[in-house]
Amino acid sequence: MTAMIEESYCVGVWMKSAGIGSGDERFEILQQFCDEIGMGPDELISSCLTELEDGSKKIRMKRRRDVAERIKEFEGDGSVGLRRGNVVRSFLIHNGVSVQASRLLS
Amino acid sequence: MELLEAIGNRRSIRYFQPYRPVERWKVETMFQAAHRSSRAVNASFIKAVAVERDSMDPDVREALKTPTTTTDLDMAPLYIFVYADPTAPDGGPGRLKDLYDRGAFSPALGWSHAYVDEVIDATILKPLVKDPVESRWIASVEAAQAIAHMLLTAVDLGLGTCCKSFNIDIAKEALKVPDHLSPVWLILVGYPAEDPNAGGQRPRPPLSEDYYWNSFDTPFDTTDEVTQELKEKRLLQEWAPYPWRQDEIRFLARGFGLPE
Repeated sequence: MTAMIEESYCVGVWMKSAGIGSGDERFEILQQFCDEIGMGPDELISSCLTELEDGSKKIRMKRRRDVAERIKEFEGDGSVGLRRGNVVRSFLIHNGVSVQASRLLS
Repeated sequence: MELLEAIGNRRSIRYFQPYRPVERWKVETMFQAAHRSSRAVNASFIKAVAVERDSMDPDVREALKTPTTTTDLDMAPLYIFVYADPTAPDGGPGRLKDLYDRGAFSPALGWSHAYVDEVIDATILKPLVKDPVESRWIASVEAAQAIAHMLLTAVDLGLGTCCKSFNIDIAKEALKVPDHLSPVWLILVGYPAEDPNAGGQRPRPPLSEDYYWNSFDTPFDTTDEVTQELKEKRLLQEWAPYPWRQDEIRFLARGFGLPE
């Protein structure tokens, strides 16, 4: 399953940008999140970005808020959950979708 | 701390000890330093409000964020919102004459009370205040000089700072900002959670790309002797990244519960 996720373009971007090697445990976490929301990693990224006429990309703010909420639900409570949520956030951030962690100072 | 070392030590700090408040006396010191910056017609072009993070409604704080002002806003215990006042030249003639009386200006350089009233006010100050572009330009420049004083004073006081953008409409309502003030920067202030060197001095292009001698035909070249001396005085320091910087960033992210 995670071998397939590594073939995704955006996962490749994430691997290169964050220095993640093949077979990393984070892929399984990302796969679980993608299964929960019913879309693959590339689709997840493209759903958060609008491509403009000049080829640049703009974040779709409402969609990003929705994804941020889904990540909060995915991670639940506790430090283990927070780490899982941060894996998904890391994937988004390294693909240009800036999302914040939800629990600093909470 | 010597001035050149403070300039060399200044970095944008992006990780703060969120639990440690900034002492009010340090804010007062930063404001007093800002108050002594160079300012045209001795006018108060800068207006600034210090806000303790924890006094702010969390929803308002969240709404202040921009694409470049994010979780660091949550970390910093103190904010200084800086505005520029384009109406500051009002009252300029009085202040210029006061400066004349204090010996800042003199007839040797062509100044007199009559010169202020009949020439400077009529041909410079009044047109300046009326021109929205020119007045905003000079107000921003002079406010920025005051900001620079604050940033260096913060270094001397053991604090970290970072100049950030902010949602100006949210701030205007929350802080009751007068209509005529023009937003400049939000300065995050706090005790650094990262090493105060923040991984090293940020790179700069060669001096000769930006600085010239006598005319723009002649780039300003550095000399080995001065470079060496400035290294000894810590104005010039090792460039980022230190070898362990990525490990530090990872450590900070994990400590704060942030993505990597």
